[in-house]
Amino acid sequence: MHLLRDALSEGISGFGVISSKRSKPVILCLGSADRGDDAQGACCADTLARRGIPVRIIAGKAFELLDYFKSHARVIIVDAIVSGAKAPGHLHRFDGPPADAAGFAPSCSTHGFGLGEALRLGAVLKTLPERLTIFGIESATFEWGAAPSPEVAASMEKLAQAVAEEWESA
Amino acid sequence: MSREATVSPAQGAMTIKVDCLARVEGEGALHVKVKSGKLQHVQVRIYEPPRLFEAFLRGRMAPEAVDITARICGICPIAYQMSAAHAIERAWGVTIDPRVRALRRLFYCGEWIESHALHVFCLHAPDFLGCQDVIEMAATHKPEVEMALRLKKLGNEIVRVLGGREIHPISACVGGFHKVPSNEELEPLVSELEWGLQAAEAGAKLVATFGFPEFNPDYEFVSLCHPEEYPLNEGRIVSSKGIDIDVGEFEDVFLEQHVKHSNALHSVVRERGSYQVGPVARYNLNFEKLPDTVKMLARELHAEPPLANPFKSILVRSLELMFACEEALRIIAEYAPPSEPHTEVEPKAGRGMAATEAPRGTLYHRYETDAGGRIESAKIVPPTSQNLKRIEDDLWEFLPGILHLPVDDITWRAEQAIRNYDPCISCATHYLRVYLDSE
Repeated sequence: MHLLRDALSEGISGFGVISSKRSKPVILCLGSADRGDDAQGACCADTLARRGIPVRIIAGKAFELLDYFKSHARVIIVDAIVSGAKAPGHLHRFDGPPADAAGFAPSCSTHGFGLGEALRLGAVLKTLPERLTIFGIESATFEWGAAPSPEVAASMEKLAQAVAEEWESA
Repeated sequence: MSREATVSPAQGAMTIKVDCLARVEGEGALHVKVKSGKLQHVQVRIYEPPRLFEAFLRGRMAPEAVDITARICGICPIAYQMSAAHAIERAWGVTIDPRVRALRRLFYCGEWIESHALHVFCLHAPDFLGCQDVIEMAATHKPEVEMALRLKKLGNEIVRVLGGREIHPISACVGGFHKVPSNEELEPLVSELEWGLQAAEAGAKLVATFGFPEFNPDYEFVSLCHPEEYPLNEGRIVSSKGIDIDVGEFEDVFLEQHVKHSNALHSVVRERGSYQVGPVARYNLNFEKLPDTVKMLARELHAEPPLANPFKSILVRSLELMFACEEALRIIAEYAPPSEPHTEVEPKAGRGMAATEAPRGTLYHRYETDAGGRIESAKIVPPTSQNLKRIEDDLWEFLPGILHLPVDDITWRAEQAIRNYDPCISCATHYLRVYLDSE
């Protein structure tokens, strides 16, 4: 799937990263395409790519987030959210001080190091971007091989539209 | 076979359940039961669903295995690409250009640097520093964590330059690479590798100061051995207890067994039992082939073979990290692009086996192809499933000596003992939970 979806991925190349002053934010879509509502990152990436908006997919390599935090002044992240405070399908948006982001996105990574940990480590190392916006749909299921829940599926277009507007307005 | 280990009679009833063993790759659980002061059972239960790669490779064109099997693991895709490519090349009688062979070693060095830097400093070091995780460690060891992330990025960059991108690289193929780099593309790696070599040395010196529990099991170490090189892509399969075979004989000597409690197979030496693959095995069996600088540092740190303490695997990984940087520098210094990026291959009927040294240990692939080059059967034996039985045996031997400790300490040490192996449960079938029951 990634071969098709991310065939021309540029990644972060070279050691002297100079992309930090690009005017447009980097969009990072997180999660596994094969675990229920965790697929919202990959689905959002597909929709954005079709609109010609550059995206990066990060699945299972959350340490890579730190490279993007260090090298970009503006970062937009898309990931599944489980707050328990909203009904499945609710679209969350975080746009507060980057140092507060970890409280918004606590980890539920099966690898022990996910977005929450990357944000906390970035805060300790003082390498968080100047501005960080997080989008995510309140999720209900992360079963292996499962399709996204109907509630999350129904909010996918709204998620992609919100991310696109955030990127285009930057 | 039932096994028992006597523990302190004063221990009494005890129940420990830890739902999630962090800092391992994948999903599984460790169950430990103690009854009346005796260890009743130790089971590493891998409940991640079977991934069935061997089955869905059937019917695919063999060269596709290089890219398909790479998706088994996000941390060691190059290992899968290399084992698959070498096995198919053997099946089809393909000889690769020596310069391509050197590039493959460089490619592998990138993966070793990335994987070892991650495990040594971000996953394993927190155990020895009394930190819950790398985030807590970063508060007191910020330069070391920054160094680790820079080393990891160095590994990523080598993979990107050779593989087309750092995650899920796409340029390796049967016969060589789809595209090879120019000298100009490799040159920017040199100064960072020179830094990396210094950083890895400093890291090894730091790691050597950690406290290691006294624990030295009678292991059978298994690794590739090459007459002249520290093993990466080729060699005979050799063990510390007398095995010395061509890779083609792997399945005659090693047996994969189903166990009820795990979705991952357990490998054993036939009629003998568990064995260990990975850095400590490679190191013990190939120490003399390390660069002089690494051997000298190992002597300075009193870490020469024989080294059987699995807790010192973090030190061995640090030394291998140093090796990988030095080897990468050597290869780049001698590099001249091959006339063709890959040897043209002709699909045919054949049977080929190969083993290469993934960061976690020996990775075996075997493929059988029909006359059109389609895969009729495939077998993949990842390093973690080879170590799973040995991990259980380590716990059988290690736990009785610490059952007098508080429950939290036992659990901590048990998790640490598992992390000694840098297990990649993603490869073996993913997540590890620890349950310790005592009554």
